[in-house]
Amino acid sequence: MIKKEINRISEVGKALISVEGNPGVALNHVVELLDADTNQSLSFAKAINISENSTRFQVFNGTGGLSTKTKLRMHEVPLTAGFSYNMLGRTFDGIGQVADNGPEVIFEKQLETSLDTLNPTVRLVPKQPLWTGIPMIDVFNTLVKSQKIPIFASPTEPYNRLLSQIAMGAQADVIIFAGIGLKFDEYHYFKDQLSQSGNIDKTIMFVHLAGESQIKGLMLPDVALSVAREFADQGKDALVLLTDMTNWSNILRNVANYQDMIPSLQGYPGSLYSELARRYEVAADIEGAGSITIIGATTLESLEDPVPDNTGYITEGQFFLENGKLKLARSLSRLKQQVNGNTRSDHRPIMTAMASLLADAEKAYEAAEVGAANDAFSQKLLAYRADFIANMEEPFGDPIELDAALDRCWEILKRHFEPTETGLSKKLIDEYWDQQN
Amino acid sequence: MNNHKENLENIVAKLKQDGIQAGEAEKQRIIDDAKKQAEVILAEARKQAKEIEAEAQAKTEQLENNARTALAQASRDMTEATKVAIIKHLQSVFGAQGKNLFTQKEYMEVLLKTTLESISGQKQVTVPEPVMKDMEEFLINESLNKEVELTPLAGANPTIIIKPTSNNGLQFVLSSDDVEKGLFSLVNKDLVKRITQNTEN
Repeated sequence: MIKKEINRISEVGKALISVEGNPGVALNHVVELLDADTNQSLSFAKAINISENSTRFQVFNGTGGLSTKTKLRMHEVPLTAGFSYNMLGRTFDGIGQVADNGPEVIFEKQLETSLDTLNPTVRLVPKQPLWTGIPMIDVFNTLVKSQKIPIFASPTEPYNRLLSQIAMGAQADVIIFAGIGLKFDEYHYFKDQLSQSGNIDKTIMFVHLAGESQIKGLMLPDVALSVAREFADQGKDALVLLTDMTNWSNILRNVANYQDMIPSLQGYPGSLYSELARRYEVAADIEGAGSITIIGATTLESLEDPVPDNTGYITEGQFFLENGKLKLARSLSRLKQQVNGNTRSDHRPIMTAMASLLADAEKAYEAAEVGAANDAFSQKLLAYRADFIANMEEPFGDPIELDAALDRCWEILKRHFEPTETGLSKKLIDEYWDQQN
Repeated sequence: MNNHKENLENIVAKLKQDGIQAGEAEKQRIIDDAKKQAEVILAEARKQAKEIEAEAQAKTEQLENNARTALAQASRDMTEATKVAIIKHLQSVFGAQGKNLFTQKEYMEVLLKTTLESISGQKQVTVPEPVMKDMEEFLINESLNKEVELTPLAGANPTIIIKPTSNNGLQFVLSSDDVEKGLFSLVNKDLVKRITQNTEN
C-alpha cells in the first residue's frame, strides 16, 4: 500500500518526460503524475525507455501543465486494459477508458497490453472463410479468419466507409473498431452505420480523435488488440478494423523523434517494420479457441512510402481502393485458395474466368483509347468492363450472401457474352447459365 | 341492266362484309394487344409492388431489431450504472472510516512503527497535525526520535510521508485513500462479484 513518489523530472518534452536515473520502475509500468503542491492527479505515464542515466515516460494526456516539480507516483503494475462483455456496444479511448459519456464499465479482468507473441504451436492453418457481404471480397479475394490484410487507399478515398461496410456485413462474433486520428464526423458515421445495421451490439469502438493526446493514439492498437485476443481466447471470432495505420505510424515517428532516435526513411524509426509486425501478428486462428482477423486501413501517396511498403511485407495481400472502387487488378487475398475451393462449385472457375476477361477488357480499353478496338468482341469487352466496375468493384450497398454474389457474376457474363466466349466449362454452363433470370 | 345492278349490289355487299370482317379482326387484334400489354404492365406493377413491400418489410424488421438492440443495451448500461453507484457508495462509506483511522493514536503508532522499520536511515516524516504531539511522544518512547524528524502535514488528506534525507527527491507515501483502496479491494472481492454477476444466474 505504501507508494513511492519522486520529483526528479529532468526534462518535459512534447509527449515525453525524462527522470534522472531509474526511480524503480520496469518497462511498460505505469506512473501517476501529481501536482507538486496539491497532490492532484494530473495524468498517467508509461515507462518506455530505461537506461543507467535516465528513464523516459510517455504521458497519456500530453505534457501541458507539467513541470520539473511534478511528482511521479509509482504504481508498480504494467499498463493493463479492462475486459468485459459489457464493453460491447460501447466506445473507449486509447487507454481503454469509457469515452461515450455512458456509465463506467465494471471490468471482469485486466489484460496486459504487451501483445506477447503467441505460441506458434497453437496457431492453426487458416481455413475458415470470413464473409463480408461485399461481392468483390467474398468472390474474388475471399477473406480468411486470422488473416491480416490492409486496405491501401489514398487519403481522399472512402476507406473508412469501406471499413464501416465490412463491419455491417462481416460474419464475425465480435467486431473491434480501432480508430486512430479520426475526425469527429468519421467517428459518428461509424457509430450511426453500425447502429442502423444492427451490428452495434457486437462491436466495441476504441477511438482516438485527431485532437487528442498522441500517446493515447499510439497505445490504442495495443489496447484494442489485447481485448480482441481475450475474446479469441474465449472462443470468439474477432474482427479488428484498424484505421488509419499511417496515422499511427506518424505518431510513432513523432514520438521516436522526441526521443532523439536516429531517423530512418522519411523520418520513421528504424523499428517501423517490427512495430507494425508486432500489431499485425496478433492475427491468429488459435487451437481450441477463436480467431483474430485484422483489416488495417493504410493511407498512402505512393506504394513506396515506408508505411505501405513495410505493411506489404507483413500482411497477407491487400485490398486496393481506387476512385471509390475495390480494384480487382490491384487487390489480392493471399489466403483465398485455402477457402474458395470448398464453396459453390462455380466459385473458383467464375472468379478466374471473370478476372481473365477483365484483363482482356483492360487491353481493349487501352486499345480503344487510341481508336483501335472497333471489332465486335472488343466492344463486348468494353461493355463488360464498365458493367464489372459498376456492379462488382462497387463495395457499397446492402451486404449480400456468396450465392447471390455468384449469381450476380453469371448475370454480368450473360449480359455481354455467349457461353463459349467465357472460357467456362460446358458442365458449369449447363448447370448455371440458364438458371439465371 | 338488272344483272349489272345485282352484280354491283353483290360487290358492294361483299366489300361491306370484307370491310366489317377486317375491321372486326383489327378490333380484335387491338383488344388482344391491349390485353397483353395490360397483363405485362400489371405483372410489372405486381412485381414492383412485391419488391417495395419486401423492402419495406425488411426495413421494418431492421428498425425493430435495431430498436430492440438499443433497448437491450440501454437497460444493460442502466444496470451497470446502478452497480457502479452501489460500489462507489460502499467505497465512500468505507473511505470515511479509513480517514478516521488516521486520527486514532493507537492505529497511527502501529502504522508509523511498521513503516519506519521498513525504511532505514535518516528521514523526515510528515504526519497529520492532530496526532503530531502523540507521535512525537511515541517516537521518544520507542527511541526512534534520533533518526526521524517529524513535521506536520499541510494538506487535508490524512497521509504519512517519509522522506529519506539521503535520497533527494524520493519519498514514500501512505494515505488514507491508499489504505481505503487496499482494504476495500480485499473486502469487496466477493461483494463486487455478487453485485456484478448476471442476474440470470
